Amino acid sequence: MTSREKYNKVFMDCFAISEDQLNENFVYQSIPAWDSVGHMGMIADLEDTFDIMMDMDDIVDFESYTVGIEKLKNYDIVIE
Amino acid sequence: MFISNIGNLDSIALIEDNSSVLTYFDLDQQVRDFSNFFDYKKHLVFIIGENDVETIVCYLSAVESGMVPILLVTKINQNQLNNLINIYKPKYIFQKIDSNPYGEFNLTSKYERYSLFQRDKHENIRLHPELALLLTTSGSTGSPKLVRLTKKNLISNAKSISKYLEITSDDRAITSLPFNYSYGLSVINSHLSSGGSIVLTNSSMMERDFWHLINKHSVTSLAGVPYNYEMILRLGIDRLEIPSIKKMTQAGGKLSFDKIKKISTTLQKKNIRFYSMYGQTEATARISYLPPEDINNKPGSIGKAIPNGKLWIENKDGELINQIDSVGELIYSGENVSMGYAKSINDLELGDMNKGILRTGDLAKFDSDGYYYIEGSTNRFVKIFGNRISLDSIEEIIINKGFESAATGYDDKLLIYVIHNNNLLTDQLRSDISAEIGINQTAIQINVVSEFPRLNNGKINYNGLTNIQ
Repeated sequence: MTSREKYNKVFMDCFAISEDQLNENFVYQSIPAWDSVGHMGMIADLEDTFDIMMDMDDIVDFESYTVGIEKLKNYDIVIE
Repeated sequence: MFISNIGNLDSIALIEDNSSVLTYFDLDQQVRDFSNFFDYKKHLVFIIGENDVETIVCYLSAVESGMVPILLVTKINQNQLNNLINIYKPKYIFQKIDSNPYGEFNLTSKYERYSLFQRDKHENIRLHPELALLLTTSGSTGSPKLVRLTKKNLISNAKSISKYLEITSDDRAITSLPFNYSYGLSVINSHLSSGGSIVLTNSSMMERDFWHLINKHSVTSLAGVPYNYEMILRLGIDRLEIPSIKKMTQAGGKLSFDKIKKISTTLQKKNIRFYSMYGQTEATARISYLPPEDINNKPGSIGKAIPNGKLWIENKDGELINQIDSVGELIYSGENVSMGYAKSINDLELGDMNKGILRTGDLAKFDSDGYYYIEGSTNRFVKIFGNRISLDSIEEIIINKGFESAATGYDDKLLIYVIHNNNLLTDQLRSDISAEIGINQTAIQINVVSEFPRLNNGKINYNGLTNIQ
């Protein structure tokens, strides 16, 4: 799997959505599943998938599908 | 006001995000002004609000004026709300909307971002004279089962909490929980009754704004249910920079031993006092607490009864158990024990059914030092994100969708076993249940099975369910 596929899979698994919903409009609280509980689950899943430990700043600023790609760069994860 | 013996009128009572600061003088004024909206008679008021100034003012004013509020959250499902309106026929609805969606109500007043609607026709509804507040029993599930509370309940619990948490006018809490959840409300009531202050926000611990507000307004006290502590651990409890925080409390479910240990040792280093607590909405909020000094010696204990309360355990025949480490039903007595439940409009007339004694439905034991430990439950309930969810009601929701299920679960996990059916779409069912009970779908797991394991008497063997995957 490419890093993009892995990244998308985390979102699709955590929020039970299809891949075509993943774009710049997919943001925190845009669907009921992405609330604070869903956010915590997604972060945990991302940390496992990419074997990283995210900093508090990145967790609380991870406000959209697109912003997340930027945040992962801090851990040398490049989503192309 | 009923909950506060206003000491210093100039001291701050409420701070809302970045917009407004209310002193006790301002708050008292606003509560008085708001009470002019109400009739002289005792009426039912639906408060559909959030953690904001308007909601707190409406709540305080309603109780102060002898109305009976039912506290609900803005995000409540519309069908569930309509159902509650049909069952309880409120005289007033207070909600953050501009237009009037209610056929039988008139928009009578605007209050900042909220509207107050009043029913046109007079309904003859009898409310018990001591009834002061109705709380839902399980978060936002929309169940019509409500807990009937009196002013005495609210005042007594707020005073006990203020005493053991040593809340003073120097304390400042932040609304980390919904205002209509008994634990969230107890934080508000206990701080107002001690002359402390409250920062009002709807941001969660997963948002930068929440932590920013703590530091900006020098919040001293933080409350959380187990999943809030999971969040704090996820964010990195060691690295959390919250120097103004002096106390943290936990209730609303069980944290695992290793997490309690990690939290308590880290907080100790930061000079933050960590209180583990136990309670039920049926007792207004708090029943027992474990002081920070005991957390290492008594891990997993719910501690001892709050000031002016009493705990004991009874066996199945209702006899007192005096022996240590012997399990029985946990019973509590105190002035904070509610009058009982309401399931229909007629129940609002009922008097005190509990008479100050609450059978908690939880199984417990005590050790040689008199510290209590929860060992299980006599009821079919699970705690999910601080909400008490009835497993029977989950099965009922699913049967109404045409499927046969058996629900079980543990802390923050709801396990549902559904009999195979060609019409069954598990992802759909999961999101439907999530929407209906207001619980994030990550807590819900659905397993399709061909049949349920059964006991000799034909009843579902719930203990056997988890082995059949």
